[in-house]
Amino acid sequence: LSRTIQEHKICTILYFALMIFNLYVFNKKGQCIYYREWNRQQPAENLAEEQQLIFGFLSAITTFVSKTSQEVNDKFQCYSTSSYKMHYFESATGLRFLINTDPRTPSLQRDLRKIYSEYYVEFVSKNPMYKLGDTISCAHFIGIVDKFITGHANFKSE
Amino acid sequence: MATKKPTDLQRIGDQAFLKVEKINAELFTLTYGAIVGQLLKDFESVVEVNNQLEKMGYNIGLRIIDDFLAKSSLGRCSDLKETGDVIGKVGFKMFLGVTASVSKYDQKKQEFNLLIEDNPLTDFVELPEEYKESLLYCNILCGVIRGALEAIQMKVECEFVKDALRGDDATEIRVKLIEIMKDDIPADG
Repeated sequence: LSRTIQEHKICTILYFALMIFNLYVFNKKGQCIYYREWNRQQPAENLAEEQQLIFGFLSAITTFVSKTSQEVNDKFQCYSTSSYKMHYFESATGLRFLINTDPRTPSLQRDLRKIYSEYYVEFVSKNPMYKLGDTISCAHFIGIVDKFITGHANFKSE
Repeated sequence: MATKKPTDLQRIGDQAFLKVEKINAELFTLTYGAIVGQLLKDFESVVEVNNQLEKMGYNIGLRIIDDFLAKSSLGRCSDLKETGDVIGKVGFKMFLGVTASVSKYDQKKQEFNLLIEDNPLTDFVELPEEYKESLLYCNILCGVIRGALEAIQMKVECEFVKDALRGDDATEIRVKLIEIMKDDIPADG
């Protein structure tokens, strides 16, 4: 633990801290309808291109999992590298929720499901002024998701 | 995934019903009646009113499905009969407070009928003679089912085969599966 704290002080890139980086929401057409970042190390060079790349990857991997899995309706949930972990949840209606965190954060499946069922459904889907498939700009949704993520146990540890 | 029995679904429906916010039944019936009444004033033909009701239902269905999935936590259905049971025992229960049952399931034709015994939309409603032959008073329900299923990649046709308001002994909606839509990979650019 003391070694971790020392490295933590020395490294500019916080490899060992628990941290939630950002959140993407894609509609079923592949458009990113919501993006929010909290702790991102390096800003994206081209956000739109990055989002397209991510969606392309998600299409490929979800198809791959459905074709190769032994179980029917098996779902792709996450992947991790040495520097980050990507958590993924897809609703039956084709909405895709994605959170990137540090590699040690445990599964955020339940949290992603919560963002869908309690925040998206209540503040976006039920908002008659919101056109389905458009970019989300509903203030309630943005506020409550911010509150939920920044208050999360894995948000940021010092 | 094992097929859920209708009795299980009844229980799931009751539980989901407890989670949703309720509205006064009379206000609901009167509001719906006001919508139909206004549409009849706004549109010349009754056929057009039927279409508008279906369209309204379709837009509701597209949104209501997310709410349904979130509150019922149900996953994929294994066959069309289960889909019908889920709509009747869980969906109808959650949003209308009453259940509908699947009658006349035809696996070959890929269709089923939903028998609605108690319909909160039509409490105290009597159709005047001029509309008795042509107006599909509850056509919004057909739209809701079509929209909700389309959002989960099932293309269906939905229509009333029996309508108590028009003199039949019961109210029945036939739902026919046209196709399961495959995901299209969006083109680049």
